[in-house]
Amino acid sequence: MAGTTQPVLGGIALLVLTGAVAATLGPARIPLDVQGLILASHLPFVHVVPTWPASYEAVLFDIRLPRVVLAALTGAALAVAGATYQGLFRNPLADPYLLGIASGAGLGAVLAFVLPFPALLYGIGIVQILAFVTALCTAGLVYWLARVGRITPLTTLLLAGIAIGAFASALTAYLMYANGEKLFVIYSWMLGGFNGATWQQVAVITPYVLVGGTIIALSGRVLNVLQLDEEQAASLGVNVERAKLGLVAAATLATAAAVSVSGLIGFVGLMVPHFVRLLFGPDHRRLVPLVALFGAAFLVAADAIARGLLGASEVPVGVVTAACGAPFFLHVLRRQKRNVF
Amino acid sequence: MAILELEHVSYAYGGGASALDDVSLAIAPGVVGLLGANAAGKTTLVRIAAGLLPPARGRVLLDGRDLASVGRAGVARRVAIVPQSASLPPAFTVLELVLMGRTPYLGLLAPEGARDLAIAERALERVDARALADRRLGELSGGERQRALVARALAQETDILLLDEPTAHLDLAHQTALLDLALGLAREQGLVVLAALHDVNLAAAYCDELAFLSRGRVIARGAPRDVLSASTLRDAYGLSFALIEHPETGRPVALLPAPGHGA
Repeated sequence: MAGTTQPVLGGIALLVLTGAVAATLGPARIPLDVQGLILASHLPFVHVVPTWPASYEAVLFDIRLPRVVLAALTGAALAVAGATYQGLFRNPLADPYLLGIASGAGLGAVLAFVLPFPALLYGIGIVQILAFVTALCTAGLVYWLARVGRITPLTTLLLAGIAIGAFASALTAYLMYANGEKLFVIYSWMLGGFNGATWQQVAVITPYVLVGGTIIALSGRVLNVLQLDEEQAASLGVNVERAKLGLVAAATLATAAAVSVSGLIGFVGLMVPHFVRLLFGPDHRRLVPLVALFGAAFLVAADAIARGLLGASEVPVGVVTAACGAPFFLHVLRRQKRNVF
Repeated sequence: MAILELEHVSYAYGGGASALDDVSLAIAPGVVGLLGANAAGKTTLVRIAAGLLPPARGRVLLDGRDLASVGRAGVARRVAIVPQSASLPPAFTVLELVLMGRTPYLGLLAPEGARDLAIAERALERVDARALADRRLGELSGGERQRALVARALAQETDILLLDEPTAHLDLAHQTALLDLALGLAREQGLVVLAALHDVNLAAAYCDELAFLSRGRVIARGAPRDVLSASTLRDAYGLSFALIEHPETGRPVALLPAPGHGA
């Protein structure tokens, strides 16, 4: 575990810096120093004479900051879930959507769009609620279907995830086809984004991301031992079935929460863990916190590009994550051609 | 003194022919060699003894206590196993692998302490692998992997050590060194060592006792001098060996039949 503190501090600095720069961007440019002064003016016992337009405060607190924080939470959740699934399945192609969560959430969201539901339930968007619930149900169904007696073989889990995912996708595709007039809103949701992010969304998903992330962060050693085969892990004292269930549940919770507010953002959960592994090695005790920080910083940056790239009109953030992340990742991959997984 | 007992243990894979058929075996401190042809049930027996496979019938007792009633970590503090074919994550180092042997002693967040590191390094020393500590597992030869796995088992500091064909990838010097180590652990620390072996003569030279398995049953059990006979070997392997006495140790040595005259 030597040398974890420094990279983590570096990751925190990177995230804060990325967030601050991202918050300056938009129709009204709020420079970093003005941001600092606005924030300082809200601290107790600090008196700053406002030299900025009054609208800046509203823009910063009600639009920019919730968006940055939501993107950071989502990025951290997706990246940590991806690292968990890659570690658990010992498969470099695993991502947070492995157990059909994406298809499940997609189905829930489409149902919310096409059925005559009220837009809000207890003040929370119905799309968000249905996406979250169906994502959890899908993963739960997959896990239940994959059980053989008292154990859940990983291969069965993987295949059940693919099958259920395909089924949900088929329903989604039909609903989209039958409701052509809503295709654009549905497709926009699926591509993912943080347009219209609110503090309320942040508040709603934070507990799930925190609980899921904490369970995974506490399981670093278990994830390391699980890099051996399951029988070896068991012979070293790990309760493999309990670990599997706990880790899948934690990753599912974090992913479902993230997806419910942000849509289906690809690439973050797949590539960020690989990227961090390339730089800092395979030890999950170090990997999990670093993956969270880098995933958060990456998605904040991608979202800043998504809303700044084409001036007034936004590009879906999922397009940016893949288009920017893939070449960068390939560059790192080719520079360090060692076996990292 | 630890005692490992298998009581009327039976097991069959996926409803097929039984891999183990009513096996009873009690093992006291010392080195016991488990011999038998392929598919005789050696690996199944070792996995059941390690608590990794629940027996279909019968039970495994550790000092009189049913293994099934001891938690996973509890078992891992008493029983270590060196598996026959183990997948190892290529990016981890040998030292990291050996430190994983400390898993059953460590809490959720507790990092390995200086004591764990000392135990791991001592384990590496005992298998002549100190120089491998910082090598990545993906870069090791078969024999080096094997020694790293033995070191991990030693780091578990158990009083039962199960070895499934531990000499498979080792050169002759490392084979004898490993069995000398096993013998030393049994003598000095009272370890129970059960080793599934293919080399009858290696087993006869080093083991206190031999147990022959054939089709899931124990067909002979005792000191090498008492059980190693032409008829037992024929029952176990279907081959006609000649037996002579080792000029120095007086232990039996089996000679392979002449080419073409095996059966």
